Amino acid sequence: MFRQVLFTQWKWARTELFAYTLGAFLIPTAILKITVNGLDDYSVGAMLTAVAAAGAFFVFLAFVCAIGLAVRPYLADQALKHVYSLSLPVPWATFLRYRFLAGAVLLVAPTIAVFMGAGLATMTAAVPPTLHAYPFGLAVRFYLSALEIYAATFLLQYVAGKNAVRVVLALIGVLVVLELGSRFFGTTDAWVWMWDHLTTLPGPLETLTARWMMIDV
Amino acid sequence: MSESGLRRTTLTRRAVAALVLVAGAAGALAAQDLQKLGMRIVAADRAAAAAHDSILEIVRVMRNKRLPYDSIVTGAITLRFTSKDLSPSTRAALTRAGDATWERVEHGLGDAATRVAGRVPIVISDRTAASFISEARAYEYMSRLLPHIIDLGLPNMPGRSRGFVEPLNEAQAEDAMIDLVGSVASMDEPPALKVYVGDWLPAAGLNERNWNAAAIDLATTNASVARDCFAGSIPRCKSALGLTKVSDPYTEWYSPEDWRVIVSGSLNMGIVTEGRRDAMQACVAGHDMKECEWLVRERPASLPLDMDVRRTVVGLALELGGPKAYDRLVAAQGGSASDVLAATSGLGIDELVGQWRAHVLSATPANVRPRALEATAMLAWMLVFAFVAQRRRP
Repeated sequence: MFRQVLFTQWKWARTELFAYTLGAFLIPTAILKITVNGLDDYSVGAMLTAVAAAGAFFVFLAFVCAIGLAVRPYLADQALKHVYSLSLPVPWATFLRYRFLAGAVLLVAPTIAVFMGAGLATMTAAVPPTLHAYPFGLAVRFYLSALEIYAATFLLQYVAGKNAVRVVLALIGVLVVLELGSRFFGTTDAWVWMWDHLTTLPGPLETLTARWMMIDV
Repeated sequence: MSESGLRRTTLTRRAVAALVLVAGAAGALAAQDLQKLGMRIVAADRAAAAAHDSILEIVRVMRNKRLPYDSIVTGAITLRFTSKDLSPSTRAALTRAGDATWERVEHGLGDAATRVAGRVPIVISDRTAASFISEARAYEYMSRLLPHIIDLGLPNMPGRSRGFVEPLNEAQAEDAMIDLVGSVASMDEPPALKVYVGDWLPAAGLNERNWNAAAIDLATTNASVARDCFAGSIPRCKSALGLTKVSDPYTEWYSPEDWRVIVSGSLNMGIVTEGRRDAMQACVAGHDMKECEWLVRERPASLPLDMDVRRTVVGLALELGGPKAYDRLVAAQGGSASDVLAATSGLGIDELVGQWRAHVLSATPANVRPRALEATAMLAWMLVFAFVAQRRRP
């Protein structure tokens, strides 16, 4: 049953997975080649700036992969009003578990591409003697972060259904109102408070503020 | 008409005339008073408005200059609040930050902690971000919109003050207090050390963040002396830390390749003349080291390792020197920075620098791969999201 769900999701997502994988493999090397080309082993500052830019690309890619893989199966189920999934001889919770796991397995493909792309980029660039390459560490961070974002999007999609976008907009609206209210009455700054809690351990977005560096000290 | 009747008539006429005259005069007088009164009312209104504005201004100034409201003592640190407008949560956060600061200062300065921390109180005042507005009504209005700021400072040392927007971040407040105690600790430091690390000492010891920053600086600086230090040369570490006499920093700290990197960093910055641009191109693209040297020597040589890294050596010396380390630091008034650090730590300078290098290398922040706690938190969030998602049927 799981293999069937996995195969179906693979069929739906293979085109974009191919694009993600290709991007993860080639773009870091391209960024390094363009930005540090012509500089030598001692240009540490230029190297770290280029690597930070590549790091921003990896964060973006983790978001795109995770949201893409979470939304597509829901849209397919939603188009048939979930009749197919509810008619299967397994409980709904089990079916959803299969759906979730299938997406988590598919995320491995871009992760491998991140590992190989970062590895290729660090092998072809002149890494200064005081810096080190971390392609494996970066790939682990990519996978765990993508998995977390994927789970959050999956939750939003399967709990809020077709109102997911409205829920997100409503949350943003509530935050804006809270922020304006807090500004006017001089109380706690809602944005700062929320951002601090989300990006500090054990907050779910802590990974965004980490060092996504394929080459670092 | 009889004589008496005539006299009465004449009197009556006189009285009427007098009345008319009085009435006329009163009318004219009344008209004049009304005009004056109107002018006076307008003037009084203006004066009242000015007085109102002045009172608001005085209230605003008084709010900032108010006499001490109360104080909290945590260990030997006195937090003096100059406002009673602080929210209870801010006061509680400041008190907790004060407790944490005292704990660290006691650890960092040993026997001298009470003497240093108790020397000057930390003054905590508040203001709004609208305090630059002089017009009173605009100030009253804007102060509601703009954030409330808490200032931590030392009396009579305005340059040391640091402001934080409410809600107060406890960790930031702790950092600010440690910074202020560090300034107090530097008041008695020997002149050579003042030149070496400036008016600040790591009074609260060193934390992981300080060592991480030093490790990053050592690994990323464009100076051959730092690379040699990284590779294991203690004399080069001493030179990189500014603990030895340097006659030509351009050649002793930097290699010709470093000159080229320095020049390439400024290639696209500012306005340069045609001849200078040619020299820069010859240096960067053509590897012409003579041009590189000429260009580099035009500017002051920057320190291979910054002041914060130097402070980690001072912090380590205080840590290794034990409870009496600060007293020995203060007592070593006549020596060079090397001598002061050796006296503080109770070790030879080579041994101290060797230990410093070992600390820095072990503090390299390898946080690209998620740490165990971080990975656990991420997996836990993932499981929570997945579990909740399967609870709802369509």
